[in-house]
Order: sequence, then structure tokens, then C-alpha cells
Amino acid sequence: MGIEDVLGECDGKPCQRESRQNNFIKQLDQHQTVLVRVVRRLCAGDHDHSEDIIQETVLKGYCAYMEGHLDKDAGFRPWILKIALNTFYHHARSKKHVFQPLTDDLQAAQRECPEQVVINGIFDVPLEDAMRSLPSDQRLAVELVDVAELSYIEAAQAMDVPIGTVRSRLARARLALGLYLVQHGYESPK
Amino acid sequence: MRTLLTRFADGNLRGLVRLYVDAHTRSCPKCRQAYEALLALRDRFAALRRQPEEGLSQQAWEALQAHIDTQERR
Repeated sequence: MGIEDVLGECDGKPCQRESRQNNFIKQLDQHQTVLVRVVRRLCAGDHDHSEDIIQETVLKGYCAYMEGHLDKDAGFRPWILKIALNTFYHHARSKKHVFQPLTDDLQAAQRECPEQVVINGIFDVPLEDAMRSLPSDQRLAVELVDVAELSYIEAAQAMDVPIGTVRSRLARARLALGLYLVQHGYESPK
Repeated sequence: MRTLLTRFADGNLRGLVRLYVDAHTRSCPKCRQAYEALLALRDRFAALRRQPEEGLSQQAWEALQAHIDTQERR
């Protein structure tokens, strides 16, 4: 009985493959919540649409990972998010998916019942509406850094832009959000 | 200054630059207001982040497993 009988038809490659599979699943398990959060928010609550993108991202990510497309020095989280963003944009171009503003009903509901912070799963209706008013590149920077809590470097990797671009988009976005909240009466001028 | 204020609010400035921005926000009312607005915005985002976390759906995991199984059979 040789070692091949113990390991099966193991010439090293199947064992490495299984190890790589396990590593991918382990990393995916570790970062699944941020992936789901980012995609769900980008899809503005369209559960079916976000589920399509998430599943496509996972499969694309698996294939790319098994082919060795994740650099050793790169982080899994920004890498898988980059795949998710590319998938989202591909869907958007082909299906013309657009961000929808919150309805007047939701805004009125929060004004009447400010203690009801959860409306359709959204905690802060004015902030969500303000974010929807941003240009898409600025909104994405805010989603990744302020909501998903990526570092500037991770956000730059996920967006495939220089870190300086992330910083400037964030700065412009936060200024625009603050102005929006003040102009619409949700914040007092500082 | 806008970008520096953002990084200052995020705690991403170090050394002399951080000291400069810190001193500047204390002496410049306009920048102080902008900085406080950034902090208020940060608090709103902190509340937003308290939304319940959601993992991959069972369908997503099953789709991945099915793909792996298909690859293994080849």
C-alpha cells in the first residue's frame, strides 16, 4: 500500500487544489457580510438583483482564485469587492439599473415618527436620500469607507483608483452630504 | 484643506500635518464648523452601520458547492 492509496490519486495537484478551495471558502466566510452589505446597498434594496450579483461574484471569485489571480500581498476583501463592483456595473450597463430615490412616504413617516428608526430596513432616511443624490463615484467611496469600513487603501484597491482619488471623492462626498442635510432641514447649519 | 479635514476626522493624519490641521481647526471658525459637520456625519454613519449584518444566502453557498462539484467531476 503506497502513499497514493492513502491520499487517493494524489500527485500533489489534487491536494493543493483542495487546499486552495478550502482557503477560498474560509476567506469568503470571513468577508461575506461586507460583500453582502455593499452589494445590497448598491442595489437599493432590490433583493433579487443583489442576490444575482452576489452569486455571480462568488463564482467569478472562486474561478479567479483557483487560477491564482489574487496576489499574495493583496487583501481578499478589496479583491472580492472589486469583482462585485465590476459585476454590478456590468449588470447596470446591460439592464439599465438605476438608483431610485426614497419615496415621499418614507420621508414623511420618519418625520412623523422620528423614534421609528428602522423603516424598510433603512436606519436613516435623510442620510440615505442624501447618499442617493451623490454622483456614483462619490457615493461608492462613501459606501466602502464610511459604511463598509474599508480603509482608504482597501477602497482604492476595490475601486481600482489611486488612494488620492479615494480621499478627494470622500472629501467632496462628505461635504455634499452635509450640505444636503442642512438644505433639506435635517441638520442645523454649523 | 477639505481633504485634510476628512483625513483628520478619520484619524488618518500623523505628525506635523496632524498638528497643523488640529491647530488650524481651533483658530479658523469656518474649518472648525466643517470639522464638526464631519464628526456629526460620522455619527450618522456609525448608526447606519448598526444595521443587522447579513451573510451569504443558502442559495449562494449551494451555487458555489454545485460549481465546485461540477469542476470535480471533469
